[in-house]
Amino acid sequence: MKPAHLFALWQAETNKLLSRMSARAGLVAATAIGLLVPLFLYWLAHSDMSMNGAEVSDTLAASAPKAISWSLNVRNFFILRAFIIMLGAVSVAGEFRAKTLREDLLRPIPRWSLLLAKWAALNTWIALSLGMTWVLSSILGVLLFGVEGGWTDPALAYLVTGLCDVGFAALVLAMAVAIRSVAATIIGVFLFLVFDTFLGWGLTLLSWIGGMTELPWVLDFAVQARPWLPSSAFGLWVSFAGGDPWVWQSAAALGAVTALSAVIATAVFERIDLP
Amino acid sequence: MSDVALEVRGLTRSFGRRTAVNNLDLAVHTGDVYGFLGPNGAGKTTAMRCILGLIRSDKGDVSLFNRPRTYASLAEVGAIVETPAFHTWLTGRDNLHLAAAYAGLAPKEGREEIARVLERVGLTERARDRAGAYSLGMKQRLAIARALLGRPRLLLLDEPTNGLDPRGMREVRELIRSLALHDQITVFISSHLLGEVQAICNRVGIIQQGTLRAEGSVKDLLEASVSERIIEIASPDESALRAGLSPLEGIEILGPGSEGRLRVRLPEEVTVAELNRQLVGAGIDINALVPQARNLEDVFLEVTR
Repeated sequence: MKPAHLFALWQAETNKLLSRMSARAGLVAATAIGLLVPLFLYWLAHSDMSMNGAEVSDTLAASAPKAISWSLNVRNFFILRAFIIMLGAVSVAGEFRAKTLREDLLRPIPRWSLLLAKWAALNTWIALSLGMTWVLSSILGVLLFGVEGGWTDPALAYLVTGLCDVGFAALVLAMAVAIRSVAATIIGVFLFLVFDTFLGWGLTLLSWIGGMTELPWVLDFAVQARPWLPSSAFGLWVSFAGGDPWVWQSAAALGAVTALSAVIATAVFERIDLP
Repeated sequence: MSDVALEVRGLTRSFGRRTAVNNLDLAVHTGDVYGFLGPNGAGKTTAMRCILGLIRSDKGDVSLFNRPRTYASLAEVGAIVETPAFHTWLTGRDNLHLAAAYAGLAPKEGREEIARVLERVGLTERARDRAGAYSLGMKQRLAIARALLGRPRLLLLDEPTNGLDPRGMREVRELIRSLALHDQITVFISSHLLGEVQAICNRVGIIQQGTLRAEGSVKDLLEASVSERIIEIASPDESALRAGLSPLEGIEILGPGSEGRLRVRLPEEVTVAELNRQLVGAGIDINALVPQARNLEDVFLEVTR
C-alpha cells in the first residue's frame, strides 16, 4: 500500500472524526479548560481566602507554568479520557453496527490500514485537544501572571500526556474491535480502568503496610508490580507534572500496552466477519 | 471465449451446522449482466460477501479478472451489499469524498470522479444534502455512485432495487442497463425479483440452499425445457375442465392462470390441437387455448422446486 494512500486514509478518517458532535464537544471542553483554569488560578491568587491560617494567595505562588499544569490536571481528570473512550468506541464499534465499516472495506485497502487510520485520526484529535489546552492556558497564563517560572516540566508533562493518550486510544480501539458494541466498549473500558485503579490502590496500601512490617514474599513481589500496571502507564505524565523522577517501568508498561493493544486489535480485525 | 471477470470455484461457508454456501462454482464473463437468483436465504448475500472478502470462506477460490482476489484487486470492483450504509450526518458529496479517499483517488481526480458519478446517477442537485435526509431511492443511487468511483470494470449489486417503489425500481434498472451498455461494465446482480433479472440480464445462475442449481444464458435456460409447455385454457365450466384433464396422461394442472383461465403443463408428445380434440371429444366447452411463453419465473420454480 502506497504511503500517499495511507495518508489519504488518515485525512479522511480525521475529517470524519472531526465532523462528529462528540469530537467537537471534546474540543470545546479542551478549550474551556485552557481558558477557565488560568482564570480560576488568577481568582484564587487574588482572593482573601485562607487555609490553615495562611493566605491562599501567598502559598499558591501562581505563575503561568502553574496555570498550564493545573489545566493539564483538570484535563486529565477523566474528562478528556471519557471523550477518547467515546470516540474510539463510535469510530470502530459504532461503524461496525452502522455497517459503514463494511462500505469502507469494499475499497482496495487492507484491513490493518483502516484500523491504523482510525487510530491516527484519534491521535490527531488527542494532539488537537491537548494543543488547544496548552496554547490557551499558556497565552492566558502569560497575560495574567507573566513569563516567570519553570516551563520545562509542564511542557514535558503535556508531551507525556500525549503519549499516554496514544496508548490509551490503542487500548480503547482494541476493546472496540473485540467487543463491537459502543455501549459495551464504553462499559468495558470503564470497568477495566476501575479494576486497574483499585488494584493499584490495593498494591499501594500493601506497600505502606510493607513499610511497617515484613510482608510474605508473594505480596512483596506483587507490590513491585505497581508501576507496571496500565493505570500507572497511563498516569506516567503525573511524575513529569510534579517534577519527580520518571518511572521507567511505567514507560515500558505504556509501550507494552500500546503494542499489545495494536497487535490484538489488528489480529481480531483481520478475522472478523463484516455484516 | 470472452475473458472471465469473476470466477468462483468450490466456495463454501458454514455458520455452525448450517452450510450457507456449498461448493459454489460460477463464472461471470466480461460484458455479462449476470443475474444471481435464489429464494430468500439461499445464500446469495453470503456468497457475495465471500466474493468481496467481507467474510471468510471455509474453502474455495475467488478470482477477479483472472487473478486471485486480493484487497488490491477490489480497485476494479464496485459493490453494493444489501442496504447501503452512509454516514448520515455527512452530505452525499462528503460521503463520496470519503469513499474516493479509501479508493486511493488523488484529491483532484477524486473531485472529478465525484462530479462524474453524481451526474451519472442524477444526484448533482442534491449532493449537498445530508445523506440521512435522502429517500430510499436516492440512497440507492448514491450507493451506485459510490460503487462507480474509480471506474470499476465489475459491479456487484446485491438486491439493488430492494425496498424501492416501482418508479425507483425502474430508474435503477435503467441505470444498470445503461452502465452495462454504455460504460461496458460487467454487472453481477443478486436478486429474487425474476422479472427484473429477465429484463436486464443475459446470463443467470440459480442458487438454492447454498448450491448452484442452474447456470447459463437466459435464452438457453428458457429454451432448455421445451419438452414442457405451458398453456392456459378458458372454459365456461372449470370443474368439468379439471375433470376432463385429470385422466389425460402427462398433463399437470398448475392452477389458476390469467383472466380466469386454467394453467396447465403439457408434455412434449401432446400437441395443443390434440388436447383440444380430446377435451371437445369429452364434451367440454373450450373458449380458448392460449400457449404461454416460458419466463424466468417458470425456470426458477422448476429448478428450485
